Order: sequence, then structure tokens, then C-alpha cells
Amino acid sequence: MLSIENVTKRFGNTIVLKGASMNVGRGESVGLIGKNGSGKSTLLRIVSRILSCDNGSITWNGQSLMGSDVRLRKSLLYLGHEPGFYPPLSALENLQFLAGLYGLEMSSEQITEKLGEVGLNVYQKGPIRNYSRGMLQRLLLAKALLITWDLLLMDEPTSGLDTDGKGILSKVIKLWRDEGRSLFIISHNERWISAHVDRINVLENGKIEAREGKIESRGPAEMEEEP
Amino acid sequence: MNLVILIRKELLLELRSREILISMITFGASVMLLYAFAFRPTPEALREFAPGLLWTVILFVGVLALHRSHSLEKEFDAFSLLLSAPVERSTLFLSKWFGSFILLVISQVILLPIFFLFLQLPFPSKIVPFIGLFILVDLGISSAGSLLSGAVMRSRVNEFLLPLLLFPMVTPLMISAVKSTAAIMESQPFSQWKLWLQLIVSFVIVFGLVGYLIYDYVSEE
Repeated sequence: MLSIENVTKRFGNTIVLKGASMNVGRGESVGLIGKNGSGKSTLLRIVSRILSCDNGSITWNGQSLMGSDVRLRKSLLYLGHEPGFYPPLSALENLQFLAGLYGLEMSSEQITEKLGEVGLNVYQKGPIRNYSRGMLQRLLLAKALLITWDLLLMDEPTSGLDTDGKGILSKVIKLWRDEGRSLFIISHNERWISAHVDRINVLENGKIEAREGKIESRGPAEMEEEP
Repeated sequence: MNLVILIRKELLLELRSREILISMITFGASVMLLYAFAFRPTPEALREFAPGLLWTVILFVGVLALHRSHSLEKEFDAFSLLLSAPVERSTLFLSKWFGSFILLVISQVILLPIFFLFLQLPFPSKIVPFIGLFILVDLGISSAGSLLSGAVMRSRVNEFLLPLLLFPMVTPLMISAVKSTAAIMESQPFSQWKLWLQLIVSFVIVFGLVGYLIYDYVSEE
């Protein structure tokens, strides 16, 4: 289980997180919503250890994620708002590098197969510098299909995706939930997120509160991006 | 294993983009040509100034490599991939250190003949100590530079901050490099420049260790 306890983060004079606390249980899918600039991405970057926090603790299955033990991070995967890949390299090269970092021995064919699942196998050889926002988002999705993880941290996963891309995303999220894997998704799109998580938390004024009321499954039309 | 993967990535990035080496060699060769044609010193004066001129060019060229190596990590926020991956931060430092060291060595293989050719200087007869000295000083420049460029990479004025902080930091290394190079070019006995070499080795060990130990803190946002 992921446990975030009293996390605070300050940027200069601005306090973004003021004792934020929440949990993501094993096999649970939890959403976090909040206004722009409320600190959602900051919290996710802290959990991924890209950012350090000023106070508080973050544990994964009872072990601190704030220490230097990198083995713990093998079971977590962060899909950020930015692509997090190298622009001069191709999709194949980026994923080969990533697989190597996670200690996976995968052939080009296996990686190409993953790219095919997100509709990118045709574009696998050119530099990703020329990719559109939606294609980069699909590449991020391929990253999540490639790596074996227990907890997936997703920051605005629908950003830039077309209808087909959102369909693929919804399909794989459903698959992961059926497999009992844990998801922590942040988005400003409450309609979309409510269709993909078990419960929703709200980040407001630096603190996290549970969203009241039952989450209902919604139809495809309601999953579209809010105007 | 991760170190090999990371260094391979550094070199693959350069192979694909060809941005760093081309800019290093073009800039270095231009400055050397400028020195060769702008100054008309006597051969004695030239021999006296040559080591200083040479290391000034190498330091400037090194800054180009160090800056570009980290700025590629900023594009598309690729550095977040490294920070969130199951990789020790000290390994990230080593990969940046050895990656920029390799690029420095490659650039020098091309620039050194240009320097000696255009300034009409005889190539040092003691080739092994000469190469050994360059390897050590390159390790020093790239260790201090990788640590600093990791620390300033997220600053909006990192292009300006890196040389501003690096140049004073590597001054002892540069003085030692110039003195040792002059001694080797004049075929002086080792005892005459042993102290300078010890200073260079100490610099490499200190900055290598400091970078290895504190890169975890300097690399976080």
C-alpha cells in the first residue's frame, strides 16, 4: 500500500502542500483532482522521488520511498505530464533504454509489439522530436505496457490524446484494474477520472480530502474531455 | 550494468544528434586558427604561451559539452525518467562524468593535431606522459563540470551560471595542467612537475568523490 502522510512542500514563499495525506491500497485505483496549480503534479513527483518534500513521509508496503533504496522504485512507474523521453532517439531506442534501466531483457520485436498495441509501430524508427503531443502520450502508455509495475502513477494521462488514444487508455486501465494492480491517477477532468477509479480525493489549499458520494460508471460520451 | 546502459545512452544521444562534438570541434578549431593567425610571436614566446592557450581552448570546449549534456535532459523532461527509475543517483553522476569525459577525449584527438600544426609547434616527444596528463585533466574538468551542470541545470540562467561557477572552481586544475604541459613540452624531468601532477590527481579524486556522494541532493528539483 502507498501511504502519504503529512507531506509539505514549499517553493520559495509559496506553500503548495500543507500536510497532504492519502493512501492507495493494494489493487486499488485512486484519483486525485484539483484546480490548476493546486499541487497535484508536485505530489506525484514527490512520490516518484523526482522532487523532495520538506516534511512528511511516503511509504510503499511499509518501506520508506524517501530513502536511497532504488529496488523499491522498481515496483513503481511514473508517467508524467511531460513525455520524459529523449527527443533525438527513436521510440524503439527510448524504450530499449528504459527496459535496460529496469533490468528487463527485451528484444526489438517485443518492444515493437508494445508499440503496436498503442498504434505507434509505424513510427518507431524516427526521432520522437517530431512526434505530436498525442503520439508522445501513446509512447508513455507503451512504457507502462513494457515495464512490470505494482503501482502506476499517472499525471493527466488523457492530455493530447485523440478519441482512439483515449479508447486504448481506457482499455488498458480496465485491464490493469482487473489484474488487481494499483493506480494513482491525477487529472483536472473529474468526469473522465470518475469512470476509471474506485475513489476520488480532492487536493485543495494544500490538503487532501476524500470526495463525498458514490462514483458511478459513466458512458463513453461522458468520458470525453470537459470543455 | 546500469552505468554501462547510461553511458551508452549518452553516446547514442550524441551519435543521433551530433550536436555536442560538432560544436566542440568547430569552436575549438576556430579559436586555435584565430590564435595562429592573429598573433605573430617569436618561437620562444609561443612555446611559453602555448600550454596556456591550449588549456583555455579545452576548458571552453569542455563547457560546451557539459552544458549540452545536461540540457538534453531538460528537453521533454527526460531527466524525470532517470530520477524516477530504479537507478542510484551516484550512478547517474558517474554516467554524466564518463560520458562528458569520452566526448572531451574525442574532441581532443581532433583538436590537438590542429593546435600543433597551426601554431607550428613540435609535438611533445614524451608522448605517454602527455596523453596521461590530458586524460587526468579531462577527468578533472568533467567531474567538476558534471557536478555543477547537474546542480544548475534547472536554473533559467544555467548557460551563464555553469561557466561562472566552473571557471573559478577549476582554476587550480588549470594552473597545474598548464605547468605540467609546459614541463612535458620542454622535456623537463618528472621531479620538476611531480607536485603539479599530484594536485591534478587530488582534484580528480576530490571532485569525483564529492560528485558521487552528493549528486543525489543536487539533482533533485
